[in-house]
Amino acid sequence: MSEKKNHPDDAWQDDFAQLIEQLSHPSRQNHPAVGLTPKELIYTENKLQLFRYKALDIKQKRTPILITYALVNRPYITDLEPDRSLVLRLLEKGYPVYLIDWGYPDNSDCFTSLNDYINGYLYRCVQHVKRDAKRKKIDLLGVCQGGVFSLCYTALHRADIRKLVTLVTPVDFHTKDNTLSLWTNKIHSTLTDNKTGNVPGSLISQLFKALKPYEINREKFREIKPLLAKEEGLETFLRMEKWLNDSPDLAGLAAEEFMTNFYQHNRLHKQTLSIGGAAVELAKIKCPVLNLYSTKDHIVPASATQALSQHIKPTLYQEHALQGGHIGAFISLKTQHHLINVLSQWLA
Amino acid sequence: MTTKNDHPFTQFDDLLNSTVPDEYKDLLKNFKRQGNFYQQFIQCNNEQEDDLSTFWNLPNTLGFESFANQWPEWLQSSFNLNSSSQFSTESLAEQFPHLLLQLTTQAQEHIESIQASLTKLNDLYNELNQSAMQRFKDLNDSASNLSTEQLCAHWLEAGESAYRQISQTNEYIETHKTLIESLSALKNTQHTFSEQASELFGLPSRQSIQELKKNAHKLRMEFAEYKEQTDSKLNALAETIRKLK
Repeated sequence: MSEKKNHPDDAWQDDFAQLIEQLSHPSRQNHPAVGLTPKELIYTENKLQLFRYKALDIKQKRTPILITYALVNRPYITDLEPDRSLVLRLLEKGYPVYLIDWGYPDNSDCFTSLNDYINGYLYRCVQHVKRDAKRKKIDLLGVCQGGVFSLCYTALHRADIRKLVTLVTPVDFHTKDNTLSLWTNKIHSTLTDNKTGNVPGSLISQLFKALKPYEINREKFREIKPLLAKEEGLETFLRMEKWLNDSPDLAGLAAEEFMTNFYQHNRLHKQTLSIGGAAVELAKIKCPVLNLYSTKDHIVPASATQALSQHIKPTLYQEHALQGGHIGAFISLKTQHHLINVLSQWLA
Repeated sequence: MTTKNDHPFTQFDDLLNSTVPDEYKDLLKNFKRQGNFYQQFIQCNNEQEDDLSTFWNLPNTLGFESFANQWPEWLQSSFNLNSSSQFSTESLAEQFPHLLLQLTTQAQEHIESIQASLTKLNDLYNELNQSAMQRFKDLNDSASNLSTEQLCAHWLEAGESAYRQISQTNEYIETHKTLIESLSALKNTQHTFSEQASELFGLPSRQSIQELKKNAHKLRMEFAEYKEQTDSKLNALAETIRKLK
């Protein structure tokens, strides 16, 4: 073993000095901006905001796409920066794009249920998009938990949706490789916070970090050099860090219902789920469904998403594997190109 | 360490007192902490130290918290709950005589259950450290040329694979389940006390505040639904008028 090779002190300290220099530069006094693609607020309700993105000066498609993100993180990950923006890629293909921002629930929201989210907030957003775009049906693109909401919505409100896209969306929560499910399906107590009645975002964040503790917590801080190699490297890193540390609390009731119905009882897959008194039967979805999953997803394993094929009529169902992890599936520079091609061909 | 090596750390200390945004300071602290960690690790490895197991110590891993945010504040403020080893010698119940005057036997049982879970977790973390170290040695033995990069990759692979195995065992899952449920039960006991205190002082009970919040939420949702119905009808009406014109 070469001693010289294994003593990185000098090189590392030089890199560290450079990083200090870059981060303390006067031009960097403000955190790199996220969600820069121009958009207009078209509807608000409580903390929810519904945005319409400004169309590019190209021929526009007729059916709009509504992006529904998860409650557990902020939706600006879909528009992190111009090169890593699912929103911008869709606009470049001429799609009218809308996005729901669920906001940050506080203690007045602790009784918000899954029914409120799906048949209330999401329903009203869909109606607003339909009116705004003057269309009777829209396309729905749900990401992760937002995909679960989109599936439930499409099963319950079939007349509203022309095509459904699910991205890294779990359907069978009890597959063997689902560590999150393994950890949570025996817990029969509330995870809500005393003060707010909500589940702290920091707790969910810890749970995700605990899935790969050494890699997520230590490894990303090991190497400084790649961050300094290109200016965009550091900018992207800072934006990702901002996003990773920006976890809204989860409305207490909805979080408990989600854990019980999906993680513990696997009701969506077992076809025993009921929202607002109505049975959610995935087999009733009669629109085309595109299921996009990630091959290295440690949060939502591929097998958990592929279970959707068991519920949707084969002639209506397509699935595609994307390289990368849970988030890399749609923000990685490599994957994004493939993703947008698959999406636009299928939506056409 | 040489003067040259001190240089970035002096810069770092200066930066902590500067107007640089706090999130950058936190990031640099993480990089510094991790840099030191890996350098120590490489050094100990090069010096062929026998016991490297502490380098996989999960509670000391940056960013890893064993649900500490869920703990009652009075418990958090008194102990570093990420480090469970301190619970092994002295009973938690013995350390809180002032609280025991107020807490019921039931609450005491919950605290003891928390302590037992922490001790169990501590054992599991130690097992994890040993398993990771063994895996690291095996990986190194099977490699022909060990660069710093490879050593770090082996450290990561050994840690993650050992963790993957332990974190999916019934023992690990059951221990966390007991810990979370004991904490939840303790919170419920606190609720009972606060309800009793509210009643004693003529304050609104938690239950009545919850009912108010629930009704306010229901009203908010009903209003939004009503507004949506109105918007929808107005829109349909406008469309009809447009067609009639």
